[in-house]
Amino acid sequence: MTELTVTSTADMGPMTVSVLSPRSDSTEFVLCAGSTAKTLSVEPGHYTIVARRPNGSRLHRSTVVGDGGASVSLSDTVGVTPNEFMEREFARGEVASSSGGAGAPLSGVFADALSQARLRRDGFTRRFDDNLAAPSSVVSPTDVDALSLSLWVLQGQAWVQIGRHRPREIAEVSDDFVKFRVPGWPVGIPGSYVLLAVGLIDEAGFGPIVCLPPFADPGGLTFVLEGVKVRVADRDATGQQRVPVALFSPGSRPMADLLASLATPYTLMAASIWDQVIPSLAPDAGGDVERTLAFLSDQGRHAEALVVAHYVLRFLPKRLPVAGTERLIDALPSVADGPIIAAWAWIQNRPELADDGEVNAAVSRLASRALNRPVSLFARTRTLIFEARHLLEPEEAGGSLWNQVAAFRRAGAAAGGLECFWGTAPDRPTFGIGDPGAVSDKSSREPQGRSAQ
Amino acid sequence: MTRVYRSPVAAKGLRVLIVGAGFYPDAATAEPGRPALTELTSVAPSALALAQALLTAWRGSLAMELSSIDLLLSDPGQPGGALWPGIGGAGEVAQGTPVDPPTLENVEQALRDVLVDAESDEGLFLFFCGHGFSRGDRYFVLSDFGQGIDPWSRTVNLSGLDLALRQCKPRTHWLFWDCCADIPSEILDALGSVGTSLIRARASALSGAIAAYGPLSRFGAASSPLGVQAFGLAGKPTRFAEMLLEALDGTGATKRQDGAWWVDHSGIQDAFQSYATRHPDLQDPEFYAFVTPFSSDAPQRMRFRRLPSAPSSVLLASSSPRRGGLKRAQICVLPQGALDEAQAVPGCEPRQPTTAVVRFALPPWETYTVKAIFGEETQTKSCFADLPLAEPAEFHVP
Repeated sequence: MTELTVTSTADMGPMTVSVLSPRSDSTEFVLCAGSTAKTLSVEPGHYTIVARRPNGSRLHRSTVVGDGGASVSLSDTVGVTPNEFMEREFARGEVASSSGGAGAPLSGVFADALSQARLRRDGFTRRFDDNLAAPSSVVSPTDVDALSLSLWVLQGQAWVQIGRHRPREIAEVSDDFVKFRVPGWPVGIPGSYVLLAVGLIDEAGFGPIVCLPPFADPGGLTFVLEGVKVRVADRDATGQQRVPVALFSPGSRPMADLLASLATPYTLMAASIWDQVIPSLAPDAGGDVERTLAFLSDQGRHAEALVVAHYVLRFLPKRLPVAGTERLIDALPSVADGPIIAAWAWIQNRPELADDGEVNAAVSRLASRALNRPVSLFARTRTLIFEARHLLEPEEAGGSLWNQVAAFRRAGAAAGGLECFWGTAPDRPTFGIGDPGAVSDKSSREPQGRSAQ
Repeated sequence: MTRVYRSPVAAKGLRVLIVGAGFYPDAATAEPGRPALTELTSVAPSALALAQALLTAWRGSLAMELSSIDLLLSDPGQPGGALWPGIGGAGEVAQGTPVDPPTLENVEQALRDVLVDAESDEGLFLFFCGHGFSRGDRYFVLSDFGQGIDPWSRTVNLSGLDLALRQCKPRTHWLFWDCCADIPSEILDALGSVGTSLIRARASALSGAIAAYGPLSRFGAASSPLGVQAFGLAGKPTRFAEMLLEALDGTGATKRQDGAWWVDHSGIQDAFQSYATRHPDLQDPEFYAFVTPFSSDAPQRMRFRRLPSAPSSVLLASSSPRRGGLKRAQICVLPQGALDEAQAVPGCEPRQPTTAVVRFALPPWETYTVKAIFGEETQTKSCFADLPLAEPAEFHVP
């Protein structure tokens, strides 16, 4: 026997790695920020290493392992990016290296969602060409200088616009990307953060708007112009996978790994990612969810705690005790994520002594609190809220606030796991200025379904 | 309800409910607040192709013994009522047995029957095919749409049904919604709640089920385009059904597990996502580019069926900067490192392509040499035959 070592870098993000042996057996493991090397005992021979990234793209390497062993570096397969300010996103596979191939320059988005959206946009536009003029919302802005970066902050319960700038004034800009540097917020000082939203909007004030969680470490929000161009012509590229309009890179690598896993429709080996990432986020928690959440909350890292809780609720729900979510509820008092996570924790792990009435009441109370808050920070939150509606009494499940949640979901877009939607302000999801019928456009006014068989 | 198959041997296993609404006799014409619905000739071929595959090619290889198949079908080709075509297996109803249409009452009854006496180690497989729409949630339009005072009551809230099923005993769910999710103007005008989820979801029941029956393995995928309507193909299975059948038939096996190739939920997703790429000759690839899971967070790989032999990897060869450049070349696939065309992999012998993208089917998990001869110049590419899609071979046209 000899040894085969596979390495990555902390910047490459979580990867499910398969090592295929000469006998066509495979060994699977995870490499991520918490663990960037793995050594296997193997027989000498020819091996292929396949690394699957959260967006579904794959890296391939082959090697011949001799008696002295071998080492394979996955980072060697990554190449060089033409946009130096996009190095981190490039290393993570979120951005392609060249403009060749469908979907470029964003081939890294899950399952080529962007190229699929472009395919369908082209078909959609063609159909309008065959008939009448396309609605204005289909016509795409192509010049970044015609767009503005708009900034809002939450004051009390209302969003207030604090600036509107040409992208080149406050961001790094290339032909494909607009990258806005997101500040970090000092931890341990109550009230030291602001809730910020950023939109890349057109002259009419319409565009994708992203809510920024107040992470302790600075990060980068990158609008992807190809995604922005798709606009309302095709917000849903694929099922529930929205058309990507932005990428988000938290400064903390472990946090980036959790968020990348959350942002994708499916993640393999989520428990392994958790086991490897958590020690660097909460060193003394021993991987225990409640202690991890307590540690992050005590440090004032409330946005980080929400990411952890979202991750556990989605992938490891049995590990999220109700007690562990209680401190999330009001840690960020304007944010809906905490109470809705707590509501679902009651469903996943009802306290032993709680009867049915208590469970129903708790879920109703917490869903109502989430519904009445003006901000959602992460993309899963409004889906969790809307799904909870089915669990409420009919009189609780009606009302304009629910319609508002539905409107946000209809206008949704993808921004690396953050809350993102098309609209004119952080509280105004819409389908296009001057074209209120864009969503029920010409084709969708026909009887729904397959009328054009 | 119509139970078209009951296993003569397995009391427990995979319980299948196929609902196909292709004929809407009460909605042939529009009325205020209610659209007319076109007949869908793709529904019956989709529903029957799935039933047939389950009862024949897949039957002996499913991860869970096939326990039952319930079918509700309305077919514009059989306006007097659909009939079971007969496949000829033990446990199946007789050929020509009438199949009930998917009315509200029939679907409610069928769901009750599918769930009765189910145990936690059993599985549910639901396939709904027909018209659909979105109004916050995802909805399926039943074949008696148009009856009654409130036409929208004859619709199933699929999102609500999905949630409510999680409080039922079977802990393995395969859910496939083959219907549109666009937003017709009539539904925007409809007041109040719309449709039924068939089962009432409760927080206490959900939490009770998780505590009593254990964690859920749940995979679901839907066809949910926005603003695009044409998904069916007249008289053939829908595009979604085409993709689903292909994935379950073998393309969804991307990993050897315990010495066998298993179609699992992860592989099915890979198959969906790569479908348009693997079939470069599609006339309308944009219509195959919409499927991703709405649920895929199973605690481990959900196995659907075991393949009798290894699946094929699809390798695509193309050229740049001119896409049609390969048409001037001789191209073949060789074992890794070989250069002599006489050693070509069977089925991949030298040929002059007639298309810009050349498709090869190869044994998986091997590295191959793809060789293209442009007159005097020979180029080779080394490609690993991953599943379901190999590394592409892109040649530079001299």
